[in-house]
Amino acid sequence: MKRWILLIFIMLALFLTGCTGKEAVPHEYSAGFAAVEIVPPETDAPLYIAGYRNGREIEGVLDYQRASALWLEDGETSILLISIDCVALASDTVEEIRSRLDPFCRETGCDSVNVIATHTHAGIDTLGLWGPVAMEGKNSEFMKCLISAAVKSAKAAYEDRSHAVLSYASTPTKGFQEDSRDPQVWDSNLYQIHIDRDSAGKRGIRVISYAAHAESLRGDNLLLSRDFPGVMSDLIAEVGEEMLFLPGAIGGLIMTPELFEGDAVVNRDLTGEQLVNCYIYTADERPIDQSIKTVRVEFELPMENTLFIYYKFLGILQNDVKRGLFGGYSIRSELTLIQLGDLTLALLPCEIFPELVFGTGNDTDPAPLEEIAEAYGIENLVIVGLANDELGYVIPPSDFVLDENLPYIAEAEGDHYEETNSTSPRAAEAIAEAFERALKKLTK
Amino acid sequence: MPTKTPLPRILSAAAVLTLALSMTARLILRNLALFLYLAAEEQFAAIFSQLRTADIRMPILLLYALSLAYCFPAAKLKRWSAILIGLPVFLIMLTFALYASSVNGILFGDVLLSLADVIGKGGFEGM
Repeated sequence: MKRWILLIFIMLALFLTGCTGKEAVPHEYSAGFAAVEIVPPETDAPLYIAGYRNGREIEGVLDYQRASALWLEDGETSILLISIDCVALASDTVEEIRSRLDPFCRETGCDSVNVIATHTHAGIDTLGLWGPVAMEGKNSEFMKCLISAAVKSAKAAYEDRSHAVLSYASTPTKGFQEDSRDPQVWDSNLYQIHIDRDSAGKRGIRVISYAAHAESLRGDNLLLSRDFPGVMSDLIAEVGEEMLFLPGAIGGLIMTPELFEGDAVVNRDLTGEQLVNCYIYTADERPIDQSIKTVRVEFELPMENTLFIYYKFLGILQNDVKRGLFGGYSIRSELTLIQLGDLTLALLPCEIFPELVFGTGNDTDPAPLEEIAEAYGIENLVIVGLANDELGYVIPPSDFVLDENLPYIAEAEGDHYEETNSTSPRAAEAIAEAFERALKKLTK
Repeated sequence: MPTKTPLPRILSAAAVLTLALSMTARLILRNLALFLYLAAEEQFAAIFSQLRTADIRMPILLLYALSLAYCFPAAKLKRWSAILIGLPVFLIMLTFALYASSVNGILFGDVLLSLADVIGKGGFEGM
C-alpha cells in the first residue's frame, strides 16, 4: 500500500514539473551594448595613420575611433564581441584586452571574448607597420587608450544587458563593391543580426557584417575617421538603435567604389548612407533560435614573409612566433566559431580571399570554407575577418606568386601586391584545416 | 707523473666563459645601432636602435657545451698558450652566440643572412 502511494506521489511530482513530455522552455537571449570613444591622448610621439603609405601623421579629426561591445547570452553560454575601429589588431593586443577582462569574465561567466577590427584605413596605426619604414608606428599611449576603451565597453555592455529577440537577414547588395584583383569574386551579401530589445524598453542593436575594406576615404586622407562603418553607425543611432560592424571576406582586395569623385568625405558619407538606406531596413529578417555555441581552436602556420620576420625581429610585430629546430618560422593564431541558432559566424584572424570561401575552381587549392561547412550541416555561414589577430592576406595557393629576386619585398609582375602582405602560400591550407577542426568540435 | 686536471675548475671556467660570451653578445646586440652609426649607416642605425628594448635570449646550454669543449683541452695547456688560442676561440664562439641569439623570437643570424641577401640584390636602394 505504501509503495503505491509513493508511486502516485512520484508521478504527480513528475507531472507538475513537466517531465512527462511537456516542451522545455527555450533559452532566452540577453543582449547588451556599449560604445566608448577612443580619443587620442596628448602626446609628443607621432600618431601615424594606418593603411596606406609609411610615416604619415594624422592632421585632424572627422570622427573618433570607437570600441563597441556586444554582450550576448542564452542563459547557459555568454560571449563578448568587441569591434574596434582600427586597421587591425595583432594577437598580443587581443591577449592584453582578454587579460584585463579576466576577472570580469570569471565573475560573469563569460565564455568567449572576441576582438574584431573594422579595418578602417583612416585610423591611428595599431599594428606598427605605418611608421617610418622599419620603425615602430604604434603610439604606446594611444594603444593604452584603445585597450582601456575595449575593456570599458565590454563591462558597460554587460551592465546594459536585457531580454532580447534575435533575427537574421542576408541581403545581396549591388554596386557597392569592386575587386582590385582578378578573378572578380566577392561576397555581395550584407549580413545583419537584428537584436530587438523593445520588450525591455531598450535600444535595439544591429550587428552588420559586410565584405568591403573600410577605405572610402581613400589614400590621400589624413583625417581620423571610422570611415563608412562610422557613418552607418551614426545613421542607425539616429533612429534609436546601436550598431556593431564586422568586416567580411575582404581579401583580394574588396573595397567600395568611388561613388563621388573629388571629395573623399562626401564619398564616405554617401557610401554609408546608401548602404543603410538601401539594405538595412528593407531586409527580410527571420528569427534566430535561441542558443549559443562557441568553439575556439589554435593553429600554426608557416611565416615566410621576410618583411614580417624583420618587423618581428625589431619588436614591431609581437605575434606569437617560433622557430623550427632546423630553420623556418611559424606563427600561432586562433580561429573561433560562434553559432547562434542555425547561424554560424566564423571569426578568422586574417583578410581571406573570397575565392577561398566560395571556391576557386582549382583542385590544388584547399576546399572552399563554404563547402567544408556544408559537409558538417552548416548552411548559414558568415565569414568575419580580422578577428582576434591579423595574419594579413590569405591567398589561394594557385594564385600565389612571389617576385623571384626579392620575395615578399618586391611585387611579382602582374597583380600580386597581396603576397607582400601574406605570411605564406600555405596560409590558406592552415586556415581551412583549422576551420574544419573547429567545425568537428562544434558539431560533435 | 701526469697532473690530473681538476673537474670543478674546468666547469667553473666554462661557466665564466659562457657568461662572458652571453654578456658580450647581448651588449653588441643592444648597441648595434651605435656600431652602425659609427659605420656611417645612419638609416640602419635608427632602425636597429629599436633593439635597445628587445627580448634577447642566449643559447646558454649550447654556449656552455662549447665552452666546455674548449676548457677541457685548454686546461692541459700552459697559461699563455691557453690565452693565445683562447682569443680566436672566443671570437668564433662569440660569432656563434650572436648568430644563435634570439631577438624578439627571431634568430639574429637568420636576419643577418637575409639582410645580406636583400642588400646584395639591391632591395633597399632608394630607402
